[in-house]
Amino acid sequence: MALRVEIVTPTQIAFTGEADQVQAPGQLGEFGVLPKHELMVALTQPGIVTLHTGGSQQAFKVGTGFAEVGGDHVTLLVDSCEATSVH
Amino acid sequence: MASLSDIRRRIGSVKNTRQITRAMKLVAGAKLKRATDAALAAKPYQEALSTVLERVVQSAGDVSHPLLEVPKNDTDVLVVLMTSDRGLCGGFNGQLNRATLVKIKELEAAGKKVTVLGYGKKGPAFLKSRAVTMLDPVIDLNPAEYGDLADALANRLVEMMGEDAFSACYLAFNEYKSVMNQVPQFRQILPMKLEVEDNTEGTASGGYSYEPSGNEILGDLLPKALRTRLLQAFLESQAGEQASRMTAMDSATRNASELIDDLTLVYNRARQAAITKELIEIVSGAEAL
Repeated sequence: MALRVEIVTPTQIAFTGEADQVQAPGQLGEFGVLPKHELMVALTQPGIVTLHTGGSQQAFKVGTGFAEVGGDHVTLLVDSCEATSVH
Repeated sequence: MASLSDIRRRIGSVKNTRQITRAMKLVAGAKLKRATDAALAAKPYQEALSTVLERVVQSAGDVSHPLLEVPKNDTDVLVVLMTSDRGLCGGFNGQLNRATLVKIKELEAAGKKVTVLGYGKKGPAFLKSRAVTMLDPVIDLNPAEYGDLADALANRLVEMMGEDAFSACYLAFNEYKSVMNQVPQFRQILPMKLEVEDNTEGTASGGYSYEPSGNEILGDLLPKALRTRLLQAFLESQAGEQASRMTAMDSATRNASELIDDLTLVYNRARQAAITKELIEIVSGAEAL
């Protein structure tokens, strides 16, 4: 089962898609989300969000915002978002 | 009766007017597309934000935040009025200004002291002669800067609220229903009211964990929600202005075409009359010989 991932900014939906694992910069430290994660709302700080799908990775540079995590979905509401290369 | 050259000149001038109104209609149509796209693009964020906000409030139980408390001030009321900078957009500004003035008078009758913060030139221009206290209006709005404007306004309002500068803040703007329909709105934005439905589904509200605590998240979310609401109002107002201008200019173009048709008829009739008159003169001149 994959996670449904949405990254939403005030001006657009920056990304929708699926991923096996998501890593996001929380205000209390980086956190990772796998499917069946417990329900959670977390504030995030500017940083890199990484999506792992199969063997490949996608990265996004995001501004401040927050993440809402449910059993099979992750919604990131951030001030800004742009795709960036994976380090 | 007007001479032939008078009518011809009149037709020419109406044609020029029609050219202008037609161009304005096309420009407004293009801008409307952009404005509605921007308003639509902002919707998902707003919706997701209010969903999360609702959940946080539901599960956090007792919530307290400065933006939710009624300030220690019971006389002053701030009204933020969003109109357009330019006219020629039908009843767009007029209907909003009139509706807002009625609300202001109601508040004043209830013993409040109303101050208006105007966005766009048309609102302040209307209220200037009507004995309404106004702060310096913000004019020359650029749609590309709505995000910054909403940020600045949200910060300013939060700051004013911290200083107990008003007991409540209302937002007056035209809600964009459709191209043909914009509805003046007068909504309280501060102190914020949370519309939380009382649904007791344990699964929907419970079970969330918060990182950091619920109240801290709330402190972060509320200003964001305020900003998003303001941004939405700006975007809807812009879309409404362009839609209203498009319909107004469309009917102006149609009226001009009708006027041209009528004038052309009068012109042709006058021309024919002149020709007939001349013929009669020639014929009767020839008969006299």
